[in-house]
Amino acid sequence: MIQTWAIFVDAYRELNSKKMFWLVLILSAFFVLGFAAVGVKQHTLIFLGYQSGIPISSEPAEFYKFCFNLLGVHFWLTWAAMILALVSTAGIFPDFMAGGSIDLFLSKPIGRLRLFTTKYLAGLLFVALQVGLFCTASFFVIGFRGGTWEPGLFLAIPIVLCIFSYLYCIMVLVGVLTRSTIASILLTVLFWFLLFILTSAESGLLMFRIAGDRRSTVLERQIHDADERIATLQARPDETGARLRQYEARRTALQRDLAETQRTAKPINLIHRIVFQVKTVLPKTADTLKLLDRALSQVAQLPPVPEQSEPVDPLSDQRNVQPGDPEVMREYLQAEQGRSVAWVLGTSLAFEAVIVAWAAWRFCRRDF
Amino acid sequence: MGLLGNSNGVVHFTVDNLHSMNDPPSEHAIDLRQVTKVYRGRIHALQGIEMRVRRGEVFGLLGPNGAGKSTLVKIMMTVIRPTRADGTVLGRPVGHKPTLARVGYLPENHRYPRYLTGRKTLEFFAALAKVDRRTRKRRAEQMLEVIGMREAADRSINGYSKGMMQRIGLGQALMNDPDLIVLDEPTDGVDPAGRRDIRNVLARLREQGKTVFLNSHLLSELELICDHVAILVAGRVARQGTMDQLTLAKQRYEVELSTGAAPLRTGVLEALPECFNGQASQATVSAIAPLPLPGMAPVLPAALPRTLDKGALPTGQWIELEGSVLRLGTTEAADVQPVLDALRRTGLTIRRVQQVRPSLEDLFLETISAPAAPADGFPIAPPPGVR
Repeated sequence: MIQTWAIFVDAYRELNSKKMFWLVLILSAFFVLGFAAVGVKQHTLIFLGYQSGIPISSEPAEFYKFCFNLLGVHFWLTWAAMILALVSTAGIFPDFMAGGSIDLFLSKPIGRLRLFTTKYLAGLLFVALQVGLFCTASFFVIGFRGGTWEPGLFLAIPIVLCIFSYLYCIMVLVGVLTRSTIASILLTVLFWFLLFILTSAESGLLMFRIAGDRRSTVLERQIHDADERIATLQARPDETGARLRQYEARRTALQRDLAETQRTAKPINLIHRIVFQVKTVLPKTADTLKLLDRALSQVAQLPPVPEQSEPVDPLSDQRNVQPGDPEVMREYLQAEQGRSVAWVLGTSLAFEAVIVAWAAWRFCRRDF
Repeated sequence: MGLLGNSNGVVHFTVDNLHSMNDPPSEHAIDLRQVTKVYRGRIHALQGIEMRVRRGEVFGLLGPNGAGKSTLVKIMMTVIRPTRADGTVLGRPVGHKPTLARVGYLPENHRYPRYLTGRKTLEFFAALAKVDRRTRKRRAEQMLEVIGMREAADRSINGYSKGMMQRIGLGQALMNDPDLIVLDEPTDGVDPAGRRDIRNVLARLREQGKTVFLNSHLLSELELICDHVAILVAGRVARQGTMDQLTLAKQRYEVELSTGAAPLRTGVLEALPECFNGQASQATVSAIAPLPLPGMAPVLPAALPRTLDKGALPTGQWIELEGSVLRLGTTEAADVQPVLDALRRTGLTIRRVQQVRPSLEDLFLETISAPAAPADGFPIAPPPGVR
């Protein structure tokens, strides 16, 4: 315990000595102060007590929570502060493993695995401290200014810490393998970029897949309606045949469309399945962040369910189903929110565990 | 034993560390057997090192660059994993982590966290060695005095000179009141006064029964303080033993004679017929002449053929005559007297009589200049008392 505590205290001293740590802390303070400076009064945005004239439809508490989530967490903590945190912590393992430094640690009565684990956890201290302070300050701002005390804000600490740790494990692995700070930063940022590309690709493919499925469903329903109409017309003795031929022609066109839609959907579905499987084994930074959205907005912000319309005449010219349509968006959001916390965090943390185990194994086995 | 007072620069020790009571009984602080390290399956850094360091002695490890000294030290300190290492350190198998709580280590080219002060550095590494808070605060205070760093104790080590860093390094190695202290180039970058201080600290540690294992290039430093030395060449122990053991074969008396009108060689052979028995042989003197370092061209021919008469004293020791110098392979002055008497009787003039003991540097240079060792290694002197 003496040794573990000493390493944590040392990690704090190390952070304390870094200008970047204080820079991020000062920027966070400015962020929170700016946050406190704006408010909502009578559905109008006020800044430092002055009415801005900008109308705000939501209540103050909702407005602050929205600001905290969108600007504080999505922009500041998981983007700008994350980059600064990566830069600040990139040198921890390469410096630790430098010749003349590592000898001093390994020659002490502390096992290599414990040394690695303690140092790894100490590296997470940077983000834990930064996010902790930011959330605490935001909690009080929302409490005093918005009039609602929202302990759910503190969920941002483990969530942002998780997101950082997904990237930090890569940085540590590269640091252990190469003992280079620059290589650690560059490869981690590259990995982060690849995750971003993969997530964007999966989202896009999911949207196209849903749109395709929906279009197929609509076409199948129209074909079914056309079949019914044709059957009805055929049963009528007064039917001249002109309308019947129109419906039959329409049904043929719909069947052709359906076949075309299904043909196009096949490769999209296949690619989406592959991308989704790749995504499953990789850390999910965006999905993890969305867990906070779910927690902060009690009711999922889904587009309203379209009212069930009367069956339309298959001959009428129906609008094609597009990826951006409200019903597609709704289904897309439902699909995203349907991904369980266990899947999002479990698979991401499993990836992290594998990477950390690899780095720890290498650290324990190598000669210095 | 615990390190306590220091107000007047004198180190005192008290019994406040009971680690040693748990030691398995062993005569040796370090008892290495078959220590082997092979890198990538082809680079043989250490080839079956056998080395024993008795408790309470100062042991010097020397060898040319690349001999494997640092590798050996790092294996003992668990920084490098051996390919094979039998034997013990403080009675426990090599690599036994808890034992390191009783070992102090100063690595070569050490790097301490730049954001710490001298005092915090001592306390931090003491904490890693499992020294409790109160004890490390107390010891840090004392240690700063011992290593002469009290003035700069609360300054960031970022501004320390190399000598100051070395002092802090020595201090941190002693903070856990170790039974065994392993120092890799402890006087590197330290000025002469600082070296003397470090030597004094080491001498006091020896007085207190601590075992000190020194790895240094400064042969004169080692010679001043070491009880035992080992010379490593190409991953093998080329020589090992006390200074006396290692130099015994080379210790001698030299008698320098004046060349008068009479031929000197004839005079000596006539004066000591029972020694030379009329034999004279021409040989090289490579064992005595300075030899070039490996890879360097000799400035002078290393072994010019010169007349060298070899013989034996009545007591059995060797005797040889080279030029005007008569060498007698004995350390006893009594063995020399009959020879001097005989020379004087013949009318030869004695200019100088001197007892010669080769320095560690002579020994080192001779060892590393020797041709490649056979597979079973160089001669290893047996431990004291075993002949």
